[in-house]
Amino acid sequence: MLRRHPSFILTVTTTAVLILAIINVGIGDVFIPPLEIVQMLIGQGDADLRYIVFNYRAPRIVLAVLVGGSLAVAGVIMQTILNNSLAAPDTLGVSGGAAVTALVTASLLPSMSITSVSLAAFIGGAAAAFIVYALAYKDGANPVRLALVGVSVSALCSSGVELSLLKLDANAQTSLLWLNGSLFGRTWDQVLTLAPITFGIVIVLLLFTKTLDSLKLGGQIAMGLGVSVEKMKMLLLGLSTLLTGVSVSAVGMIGFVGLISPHITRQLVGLQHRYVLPGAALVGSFLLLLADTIGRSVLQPLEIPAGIVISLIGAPYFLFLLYQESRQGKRGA
Amino acid sequence: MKSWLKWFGIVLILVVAAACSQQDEESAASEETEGIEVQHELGTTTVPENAEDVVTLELGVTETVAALGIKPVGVADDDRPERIAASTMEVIEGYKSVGARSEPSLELIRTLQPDVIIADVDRHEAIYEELSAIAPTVAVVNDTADYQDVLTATETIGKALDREDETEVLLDEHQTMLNDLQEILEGVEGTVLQAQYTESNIFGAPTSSFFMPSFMEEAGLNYALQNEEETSEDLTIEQLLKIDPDTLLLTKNEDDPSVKEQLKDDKLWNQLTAVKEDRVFELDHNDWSRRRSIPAVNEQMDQLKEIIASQK
Amino acid sequence: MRARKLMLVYGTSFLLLLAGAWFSLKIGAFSFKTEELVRFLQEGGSTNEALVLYDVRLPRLITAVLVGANMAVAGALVQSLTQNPLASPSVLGINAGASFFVVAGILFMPSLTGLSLVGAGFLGGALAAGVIFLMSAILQGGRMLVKIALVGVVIQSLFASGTQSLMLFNEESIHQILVWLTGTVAGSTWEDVRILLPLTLLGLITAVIMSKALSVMSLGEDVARGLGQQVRLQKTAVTLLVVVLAGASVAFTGPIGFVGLIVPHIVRYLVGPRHALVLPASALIGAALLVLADVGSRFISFPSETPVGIVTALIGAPYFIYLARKTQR
Repeated sequence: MLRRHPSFILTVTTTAVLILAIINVGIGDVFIPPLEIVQMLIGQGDADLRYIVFNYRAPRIVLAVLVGGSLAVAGVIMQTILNNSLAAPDTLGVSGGAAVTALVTASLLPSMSITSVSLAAFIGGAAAAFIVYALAYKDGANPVRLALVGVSVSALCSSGVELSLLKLDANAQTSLLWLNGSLFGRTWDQVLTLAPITFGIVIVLLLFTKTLDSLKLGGQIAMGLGVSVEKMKMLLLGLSTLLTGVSVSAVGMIGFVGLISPHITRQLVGLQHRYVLPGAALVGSFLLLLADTIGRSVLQPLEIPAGIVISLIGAPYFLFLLYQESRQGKRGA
Repeated sequence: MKSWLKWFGIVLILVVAAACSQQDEESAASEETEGIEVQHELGTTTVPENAEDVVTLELGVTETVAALGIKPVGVADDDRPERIAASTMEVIEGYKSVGARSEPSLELIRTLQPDVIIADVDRHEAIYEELSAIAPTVAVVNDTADYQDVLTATETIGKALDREDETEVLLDEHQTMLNDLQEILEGVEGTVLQAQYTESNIFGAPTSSFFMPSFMEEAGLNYALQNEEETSEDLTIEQLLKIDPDTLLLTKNEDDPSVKEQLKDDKLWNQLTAVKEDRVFELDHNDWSRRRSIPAVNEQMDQLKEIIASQK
Repeated sequence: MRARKLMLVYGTSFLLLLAGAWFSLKIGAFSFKTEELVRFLQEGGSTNEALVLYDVRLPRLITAVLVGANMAVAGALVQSLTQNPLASPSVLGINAGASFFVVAGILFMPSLTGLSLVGAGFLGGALAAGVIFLMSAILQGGRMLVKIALVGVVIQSLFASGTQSLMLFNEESIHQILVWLTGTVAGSTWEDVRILLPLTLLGLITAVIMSKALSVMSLGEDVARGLGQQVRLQKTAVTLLVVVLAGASVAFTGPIGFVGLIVPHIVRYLVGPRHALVLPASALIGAALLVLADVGSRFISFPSETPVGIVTALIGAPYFIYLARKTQR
C-alpha cells in the first residue's frame, strides 16, 4: 500500500470531520436545507431554526468532537504506556467505575446538581482505574492480566449498575440512556465545562509525543532529565484517566471509541505519536459525530443513544481490523 | 500538525462565539410579564393566560389535558400512538409526535412554538431549563405517582391551562363516581393484589405506594402489599401464596398469552384462594399500570365494580 | 496422603452443598421447622406448606445445583480451551449472546416459553462462540491469547448494547427484563428441571470423558498433535459443550456471573490441574456456591426476591481481584 504523508492524511481527516459536522447541522427531527444554513451564518433566516442550530445542534457537535477526541487520545496513551492493544477507557474499567458512582450518587442524593454527579463520576472512574492499575501493574505490567483485570472490574461495575437500576432508581430508562452514552439535551454549559479541561490536557499530551515514541519502543533510553520512567508513565496514565472521567461525566458511557480509534489511526498515519495523537483525536471525533448523526436520523423522532450506535458500528469493524492486521502479519493485535 | 490544530481552534472559537451571541437573545425572550402563576414541583412558573398550544411529555398528562378539552399540539408518545387510549385519541387526533417520553425532541417542540409545556418531574428534571427556554414549563409527578400525586397534578394542570372550572367538573365527577364506588365497596372484606406475571415465573407486584393500588385503597379496598418505599416488589408463587389475596388482578400486555391458561396445571397456583374462588381477573397492563390519570381511573372504576360485584 | 486430601476436598464441598440445600429448603416466606421439613419430604401432602416445599423450593434448589455446576464446568472448559486462566463464558461473550437472543425472544415473541427460549439461548450462545471460534481460526501471528480475549470483549459489548437498546425501546417490559438479566433461580419449576437435567448430565458426562483429551490439549496444540490428537475436532467439541452448558443455563436463569470465572480457580488450588479431578470438583463446588448464594439472596430484601446474580457478583468480583493479585506473585 502506498503511504501518503501523514500531514496530508491529517488534513483529509480534518476535512472529513468538518463535512460530517456540516451534515450533522442539517439533519435531525427538523430538516434544515443547506441554503438556510448559509443564511444563518450571515445572521438571517428563521429564528426558531437558528435557535435549533446554535443551541441544540452546535453544542452537540462540539461535544461529540471533544468527547470522541478525548476518548481516542486517552486510548492511544493507555495502549502505548501499557504496551497493550486491549487497553482503552472502557476495558480498563474507568468508564464502568464512573458509571456506577454517578448512578448511585444520583439516585441516593437526588437533590445533587448535575455538576456534582459529574464530579462523582470522575472520582469513581479514577478509583476504578487505580484499582485496576494497582492490582495488575505490580512487578511490571503483564498486558493480558491488566486487560482481564480491567474487564472483570468492568463486569463488577456493571453488576453494580444493574443492582442500582433494579433497587435504587425509580426510572430505569433515564439511567439506561445515560449508561449508553447519549448526547441528548446537552448544552453549551457542558461544552464550556469540558472544553478547557480537555484542551488543556490534550495540549500537555502533545508535548510528550517524543516520550511516547520512546516508551512505545519499550526503551528506558532517551528519557534523560532524571525523570523516572515509572513516574512518567503514571503521570500520562493519570492524565488520560482524567480525560476519560470528564468525558464520561459529560455524556455517559461511550464504548469502542477509545479502543478502535488508535488502531485506525495507526493504520492511517503510522506509529509516530506526533501524528498518532492528533490523528486519533480526529478519528475519535469523526466516529462519535457519525454515531450521533445516525442515532438522530434513523428512527425520528426517537433517538438512538450514540453509545449504542458506536457499538453496532465499532464491534464488527474492530473484528475486521483485527483480521486485517493479522493478515498483514503485523505484531500484536 | 500545526496547521490542523489551528483550524480546529478557529472552528471551535467561531462556533462558541456564535452560540454565546445567541444565548443573550434567549434570556430576553423567556421573560413573561402577564399570566398565571403556577406553583409546581420544580418551582413557580408564569404561564400566559389562555394558553392554547400545549405540549405534553407524559401519558397521564396527555390524558388529563385531553379530558380538559384541549388538543395538545405536541405529544411525547414514544412513537407508539396505539398505546394511547381511545377516549384520549378522539380529542388529540392529529397531534405531532415529539418522540420518546425519556428523550423528547427539543427541536420539534421548539418548532411547534407552544405556549406551555407540561413535563414529568423525574423524567424531565435534567432538561427542565432547556424546556423552559422554549416555553414556560410546568412539572408534575406522574411517572412514579400515587393517587394523591395524580390529584395534585390534575389541579396543577388545570390551573396552568386556565381551565380551573373544567378541572373542578372533572374532579367533581370523579369524586361522585368514587363515592358511588366507596358505597358499593362498603363492607367488602377480602384483600386485593395487582401483579404482572413475567417470563422468569416471577410476579412483579406494584405496592401500595403505586398509582392504582393507592386508588384502590382510597376506594375502600384492602390492598395486600404494603410498602412505603418501593413501588414494586418481585414475588414468587411462594410469596404470593403467603400473601394469599382474596382477589388477584393480573395485568398483561395485549399480545401476551393468558396467564390463567399458562398456570392452570400449577398445583400451588391452584392453592391460591383467589384461584379456588375464581377471583383472578386478567386486565390490560396499559390501563392498570401505565395510564396514570383521573380520566383513566374513571374508566377503570367500572371494571372494578364488576369485579367486586362478582364477589357478592 | 494425596487420596486423603482429595477425599477431604470432595467431602467438604459435598457437606457444604448439603448444608446449602438444607437452608435453601428451609428458608423463605414460609419457614419450616426441621421435623416438618423431614415429614413433608418423606410423606408429601397437599397442604400449602408441603406444596411450597415440593413445587417451589425443590425445583429451585435443583435448578441452582444444575446451573451452578454447568457454569463452573463451562468456565473450567473455557479456561483450558483458551489457555487463559482468567476467561469464562461471560468474558467470551457467550452469556451476552444468549441473553440478547432470549430478551429478543421475550419481547418479540411473547408466546415463546420453556424449550423454545432455551433454543434461543443456544442460538445466541452458539453465535457468539462461533464468531470467536472463526476468528481464532483465521487470525494468525503471535499473542493469540490477547486477540481471543479481545474478540470476546468486543462480542460481549456488542450483544450487551443490543440488549440495552431492546430495553430502551420497550419500556413496558424493562423491569421484567432486568430481573431476568441479573440472573435469578427464584421462579424455577419442575418443567425447567426436566429440560435442564438431561442437558446437564449429558454435558457433564461428556466433559469428564473428554478430560484426558483436554489435559493433552493444555500442553499446547503442537504437542497434542504430536500425540495423535485431532485438535481441531476436539476444540469444536469442547466449544459446543460450553455453548450447551452455558446457553441452557442462561436461558433458564439469566446470565449469573462470576461462578464460571472463580470456581475453577478454587478447584485448581484445591485439587491441582488434572482435568479428570478438576471437572467433577468444579461441578460440585459450583453447585454449592450457587445454592448458598441463592440462600443469601433471600435475606437482602426479605421476604421479596433479589436476583441471585447480584449476590454472586458481590462475592465473586472481590475474590477475582484477590486472585488476580495472587497469581502474579
